[in-house]
Formats: sequence, structure tokens, C-alpha cells
Amino acid sequence: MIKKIIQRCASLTISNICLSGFFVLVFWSTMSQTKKGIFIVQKEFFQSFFIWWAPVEGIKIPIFIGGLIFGGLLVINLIASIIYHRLYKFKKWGLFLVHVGLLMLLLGGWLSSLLTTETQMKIKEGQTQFYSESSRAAELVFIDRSNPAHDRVISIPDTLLAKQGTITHPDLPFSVRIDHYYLNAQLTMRQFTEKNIQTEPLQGVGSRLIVNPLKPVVKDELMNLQTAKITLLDQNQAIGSWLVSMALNPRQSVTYKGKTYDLSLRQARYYNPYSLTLTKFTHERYPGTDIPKSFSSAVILDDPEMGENRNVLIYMNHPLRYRGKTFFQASFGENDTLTVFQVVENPLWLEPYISSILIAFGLLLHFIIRLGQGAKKRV
Amino acid sequence: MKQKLIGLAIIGLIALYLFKPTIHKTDFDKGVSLWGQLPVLHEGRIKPLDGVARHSLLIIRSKQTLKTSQDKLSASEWLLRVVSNPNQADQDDLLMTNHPQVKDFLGYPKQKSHYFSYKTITPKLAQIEELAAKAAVIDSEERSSFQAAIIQFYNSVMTYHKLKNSFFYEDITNYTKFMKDLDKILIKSEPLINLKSFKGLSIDQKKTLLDLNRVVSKVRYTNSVSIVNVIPRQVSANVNVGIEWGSISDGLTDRIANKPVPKLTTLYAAALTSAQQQSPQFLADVNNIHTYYNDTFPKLLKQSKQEAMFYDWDMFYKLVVIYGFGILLLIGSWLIWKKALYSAAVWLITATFGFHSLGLIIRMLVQDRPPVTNLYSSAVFVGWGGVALALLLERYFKNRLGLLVAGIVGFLTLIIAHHLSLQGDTLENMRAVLDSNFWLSTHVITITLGYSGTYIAGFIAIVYTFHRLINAAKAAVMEKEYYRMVFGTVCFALLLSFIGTVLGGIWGDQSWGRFWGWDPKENGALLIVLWNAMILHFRLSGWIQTRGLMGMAILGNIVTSFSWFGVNMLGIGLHSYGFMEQAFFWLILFIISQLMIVSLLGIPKKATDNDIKA
Repeated sequence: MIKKIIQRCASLTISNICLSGFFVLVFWSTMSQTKKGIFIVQKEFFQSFFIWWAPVEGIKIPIFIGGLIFGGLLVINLIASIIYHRLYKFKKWGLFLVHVGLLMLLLGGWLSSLLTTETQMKIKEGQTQFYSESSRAAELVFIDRSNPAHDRVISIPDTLLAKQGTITHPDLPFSVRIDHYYLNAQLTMRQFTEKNIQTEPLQGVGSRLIVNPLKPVVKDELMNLQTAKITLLDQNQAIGSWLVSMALNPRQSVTYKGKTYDLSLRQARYYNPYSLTLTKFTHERYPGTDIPKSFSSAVILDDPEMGENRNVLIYMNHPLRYRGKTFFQASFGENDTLTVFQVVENPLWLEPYISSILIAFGLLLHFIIRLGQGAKKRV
Repeated sequence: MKQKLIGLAIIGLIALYLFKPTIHKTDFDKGVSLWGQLPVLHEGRIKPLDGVARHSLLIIRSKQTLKTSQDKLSASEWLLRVVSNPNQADQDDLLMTNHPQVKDFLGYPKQKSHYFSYKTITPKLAQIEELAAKAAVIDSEERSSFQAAIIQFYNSVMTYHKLKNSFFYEDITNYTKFMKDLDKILIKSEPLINLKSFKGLSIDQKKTLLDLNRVVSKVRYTNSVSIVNVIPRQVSANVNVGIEWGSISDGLTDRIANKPVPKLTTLYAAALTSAQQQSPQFLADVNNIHTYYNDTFPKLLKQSKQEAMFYDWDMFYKLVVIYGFGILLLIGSWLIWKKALYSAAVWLITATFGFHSLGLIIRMLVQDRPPVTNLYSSAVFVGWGGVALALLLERYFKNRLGLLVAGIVGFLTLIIAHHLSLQGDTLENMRAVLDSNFWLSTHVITITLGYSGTYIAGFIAIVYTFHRLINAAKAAVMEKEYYRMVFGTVCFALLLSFIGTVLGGIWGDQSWGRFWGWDPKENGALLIVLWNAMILHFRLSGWIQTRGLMGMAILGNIVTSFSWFGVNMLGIGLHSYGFMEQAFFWLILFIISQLMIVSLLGIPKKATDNDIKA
């Protein structure tokens, strides 16, 4: 029985279908990148069970199988065929390595898509920076600045905001009810002549603004400006309502029971127990042109916990790897006085190296063995 | 013995064809060729003046020479005319546009020729500038083809105008005299320039000040538009780092600031004056500049001479002809003089491959880089890898198929390379992200060899397809060999394209922390890997037999072409104009041709007993 199941699962038909399916997905996703950014495309095609088509808003029809199903099938198929075809036998070692490597690559790729965080760190020359920011995720923060030694930040991730419930936190004297949540919105000033009556009176700057919901962005270089209307409650008694938005700059605050909290919706921050100070950013161009020749950032890494304090030069193809995070030279701005690092935390970053070496070595071994067999036959 | 002699003769003939020295009719012509060798800094790179001339002509005219109703000029001759005789150059039919609406706008809707002289378009210049400025604001993806074309035309006009003023201001008639006049005026005006008030100046003194204003503004203008820096200066002891480049007008500005004029400025002034007067003295003047370089910057001159020579040989273009000739010999060998023609074809194609390799080595030495640095060189290298692979197959199978495919692939890829070279500087600088000799020589090389592999498999399959139609019996006899050749090459292509893709991933991980990012170029490489893996698994599971294998190998040509060129065209959209539009057209045509060839495999052909007996 089990043998039969394994035989079925090891079927080359499944391999052929999965390979062809991936071929279609890769081609299709490449073509759709003319309109959409990589991030969205990746989600729609590879981190999904189905490819959906929305002919009109609100209706979604699955039109093709997504990367997760093809990937899952392929994993089963690979395991089964290793067992069924006894690839672990010495004669088939080449193929064994190829398929084990591929298995690791698929599982590793899937896992790291779940575990990786990618953020950006901006530092001006002379500035010391402790945190990096997500370019997609947002957080609603309440900051208590009463302690002169350090601020106390209570953060609510956007995934919770999107659920639109009521949130409590032991460190907050009030609970937070999310009345409205917009994934992307634009704020405009309310005209004085406008007669529409404010149904929910808002505290702070929000009372003078109108929220215009927008479609979520699809291009990589654009950011969703998340926006929410929140009400603070104490025992179901409303303290007041606020408009918070990533599109909103002015500081808003609430004073309750003698304590003042700044509140804002901002790009999610990731704090490090160490800091980077940018001493110099260098942008070299080829003489007489605007073609960049090289970018480099000279920084001081300061980590009191580990007792490290040293100079580091981060430049193209030479990132800084430190305590599980990798800092890459990504961009720059403000007349070459600001540097932008891509900060990647991927615990599995070494995995693709290992599986690729396995596959490449396995292919080589297999073809050499085959070539040897071919030569024997000729003789 | 006789064979070897024929072989040597073939190699000798090719060498003669490739490296034939040019014979100069006059001293002036010789001077022009020497002038073209002089090193300058242009677009961020040190290159010979001949390179500046060629790349500028390509941008302005999409050609490397200038044919006018009166004469035919080489690139160097043209540039010399532009900088020494701008009046005459203005009348040459130089600027190109083939966009009907642009021609319409210029007032020549019915003119057949696509070329216009600067003089004819001068009245429209302000309007062109305005239209181009308006179009420039729009995102390049959303421009109409007219807007794209007008921007391109405007850029050509500006490049020409800047070139004209890159040495001396365009209305100066005698450069040596101009420098002397400048000297005189400066000396004469020196006591006047610090005066607080102009009251009480004599007419002569006022005239001196006016003259000063006139010459200084000419120098200033050329200084602001010059795009060619011809004067190197040693600013630090380190010979490699310590050279700064300036234009002629920088030299003149030095004189205005009371600093000594660089010697080269004077030497160039003399040479250009002779050129202006078409005087035979020009050769001696240019030789003086060479002497100056040999004394002060011998290395700079040596390098730019090498590059100029490399341009002059134009090896890869000439190799197209020889590969083509090799194919003809081979096809001939099927008809008459079987043995003799075959061995001649073997010699010819192998020798051509040798010169192809030599060309790559020279290019690497000239640029001081691994062989593949841009799209152009990738075509040269894909061709090289393909020919190498096909020749290896020929050595192993000795059935003429490898040789035929070697010739075809060498011929086609070098034609592609030639068309890619028309985009401009083929030895251009690398952008910062790509600037890594390590990755260029590992990832890029393996991935391009992977391309070579899939093309070789595809072309063997194409040969099979036609062979089967023409002579089904013979093809059936050779079917096994075809099969093994294609299968082996697909394995090779899978291995190389996989390693190449992985190395790309590692590069990606090293430079921006993402091993795999699903970006179009990566996906293109992955498609080739997947396609080859599909071929192998389809074969294993019996989904495909011989014809299926051949068909998939041919479709592999499409996959590889998409990965190589298609992904570069993704962002361009339908309104593109110019080079990429043409490239897109050819890509589509290629894809259609491959589909048609695959469909030929569907024609049923059974080798009958009669055929086999015959």
C-alpha cells in the first residue's frame, strides 16, 4: 500500500507538471512586472495557492495554480522519487545530490520567505542611528516622554489595526478602538465652505482633514500611506477620537490621567542594541559624466553590549554582516550626505549556497558518470 | 603535408584580410589617421579621438562613416572637419531621423533621405528645443513615438553642436592666430581690468576691453559646452591616479588667469590650423603631438593607439564574412569535391574560431576586463562559446553537423554583435553595481556559455528538421547521432545555466542581501534552467521522442532569446523608438521563425524501404 502511494507520488508526470507549471509562473510573473512591482508579483504568483483574476471588483476567480501548490507537490514528488528510484544508491549519487539539493532549495526558499525581514536604515553624515524602518509595514505608537532618561514606546503593528477591533495593553491606561482602517489614503484639507457635517468629531489636526481612500499601490517604489481613525476608551467611555496616518507629519498627543502620550502611525521601526554612525558617504562618478562609479559609506559600529567599537566601510558587493543582520549599500540622498542601507535579517542566508553547491556538484557528477557510460558503450 | 599547407595558406589569407595595413594616399591622410590615435577623455573614459568620432557618428547618424554627395569621410576625417572646419561640416547631410512626423515637422515630408544638414535645420532649432523640452518632462514610458524621436533628434543636434565647440569656438578662422591675439589682448588690457571706472579711457583702450570681452566669452562658451577633454595634466606623482583631464578651453582659461598655457593647447592649435587650411603641414603637426605624448605620457598614447587599431581592424565584423564563406564551403562539400571542400571548411572554420578567440583576447587586453561587459560583448562571447562547443561535437562525431552549426552560430551571433555595436561605445564603462571583475568573469561567463549551449542544441535540431524534410532516409539513419548530440548539449546547457544562475544569486546576495528576488533578469536565467530540466524529464518519462526532443530544443532558442534580449525590452512599451524598437522587431521575427520550424517537425515523413535502398 505504502509502496504504491510512494510510486504514485514519485511519478515523473508530477515532476513534468510541476516543472512546466513553474516555467509558466516564472514567465507570467516576469511579464506582469511591466505593470507591477516585484513585491506584489512575488506574493501573487509564488507565495500563493492560486493565481486570482478579478474581472470586477469584489469577484475573484482562480485561473491558475500558484507557487505554493506547485512547490508543495514538487517537494512530495522529490522525496518520493528519492525513495522510489533509490537515488541514494552509490551509482546514482549525482542525481541524489541534485534532488536533495533541490529539495533543500525549495524548502529553504519557502522558509526564508517567511523568516526574512528587509528594512532600510537612513543615516545622515554625522548622525548616529539605532533603528531601521520597514518600507511596507506600519505601526501605531504611543510614546511616553515623561522619563528624561529614555522614552517609552508602545507599538501596535498594522496587522492588528487591519482587524479593526479594540486593543488593550497593560502599559496603556486606555484601550484603543480602531474605527476605520485604510490600507492607503490621501488626506486633503477640509474647505471652510463645505457643509458636510462632521459625524465623528476628531481631536487634533484630524478635524480639519478629509480622508480619501486610495487603491493599494502595486509598484515597488511607492508606499501605501496607511491611515486609521481611532478612539481611545476607558471602561467603554470614550476619551476622544483621533486621525492617525503615515501621511500626517504634525505631532499629536493625548493627555490622560496626568500622563501625556504622543501618538502617531509611522513606518515600523526595528531597533538594534548597537548603533551605526555615518562619518562619510562617498559617491564617485566617472570623470565628466553622471555615471556612478562607486558608492561607499564609512561608518562607526558601536556595540556596548559586545564591547565592539570599530570603523567599517560598507560599499557595493561588500556588506557588513553583524549579529544576524546584513547591511548593504542601497541608496543615497540629500546631495550625497545621506546614505541608505538595506538591512536584511535572514537566518537562512547560507542555505541556498549549500544547496546550490550540492546541485551543481551533483549535475557535474551525473553527467560525468553518463559520459563514462556512453564511452563504454561505444567501445 | 599538402593538407597542412592548405591550412597554413587559409590562416595566412584570413590574417591578411583582418590585419591588412591601410595605405594612405597623402601625408594629410596619414596625419588624420595619427590624429585619430590621440588619447582623450570622453564620456568618462580615456579613448582615442577616432573612438570619439565613431561613437558620436553612431549617435548622430547610426553609421560609422559619413557619405555625402561629394565625398566619403571616415569617422576621424569627419570629426577633424567638425572641429577645424565647422562651416563646411554644417553643410554635410549629417543628422539623421527616419521618423515621418519629425521629417514633416522639419519641412521635408517627401524627402527620401533621412539625413539633414545642420544648416537646413537651423531655422527650426528653437522649435525643436522647445518640443524636446516638453517631451522630456513626460515619463519615458509614456512618450509618444514622435516625442521619443524628437528628443533623440534634439540630442543628436546638441551632440554635434557641442563637438563643434569642444576644441575652439566655432567661428575662429586661425587657431594659432587666435591664441596669439588672445595673448596680445591680455597683455594690452592688463593695466585696464582693475580700473574702478571706465571714464577717460581712449577709444583704443575701450576697443581693447571690448576685444577682451569678445575673446573671453568665446573661451567661456567653449568651456561650458566642451565634451572632449584633450589635455592630460600630471597633478600627483602617481602616474595612474594623478592625471586630470581638461579641454582646450581649460588651457586657454589658464592663460586668462595668467598661468602658463599647457603645451598641448598650442600643439593642437597648430594642428587644427593646418587641418583648416588642408595643409600638408598637418602630418608634421600631429607628429609633434605624438612626440609630446611619447615624452610625457607614453602609456596613455600606447593604450589609445591599441584601441584605435582595434577599431580599425574591425575584426568581429570581418569574421562574419569568413564564417559565411565557411558555411558555403561546407554546403558545397555535400555537392562536389566532397573531401577537399570538407577539409577546407574544417580548416577555415577552425581558423576563424582561432581569430575569434584572438579578437576576444585583444578586446580583454584593450579594456582590461573579462570578455563580457555589455550586451554587445555578450553576443561576441555567446558566438565564441557556441562555435567552441559545436567544434568539439564535430571532433567527437565527425559528421559535419557540428561544423555546420559552428559556422551558422558564429555567423549569426557576430551579425547580432555588429548591430548591437551600433548603439555607441562598445568598450563603455561599467556601472557601479556591475563593476566587479570577479562576478563578471564567473557568473556572466557561465550564464553566457549556458546560452551558447541552448543555441547549439537548438540549431542542431533545426538542421535535423530540414535534413528530415530534404532526405528523410538519410536523416533516419543519422537520427541516433542527432539525438545524442542534442541530448548531450542540453545536459551541458543545463549544467552551465544552473551554475550561472546560482552564481547570479550569490552575487545578488552579496550586493543586496537577496539570493533570489524574482527580478526579470534572474527569471530569464531560471527559465532556461527550467526548460532544460523539462527536456530531460519529458524525455525520461517518455513524453517526448526524437521529434519532441528536437522540437523542445528549437523552442529552447526562443527561451534563451527571451532571457538574453526580451527581458531588457520589458519596460519599454509600444511607443519606444529607435534601437530597441528594431531589436524588438527582430526578436519577434526570430520567435516566429522558430515556431514555424518547429511546426515543420509535424509533417509526417516515413523513410520507406525504397528510400533506404536508394
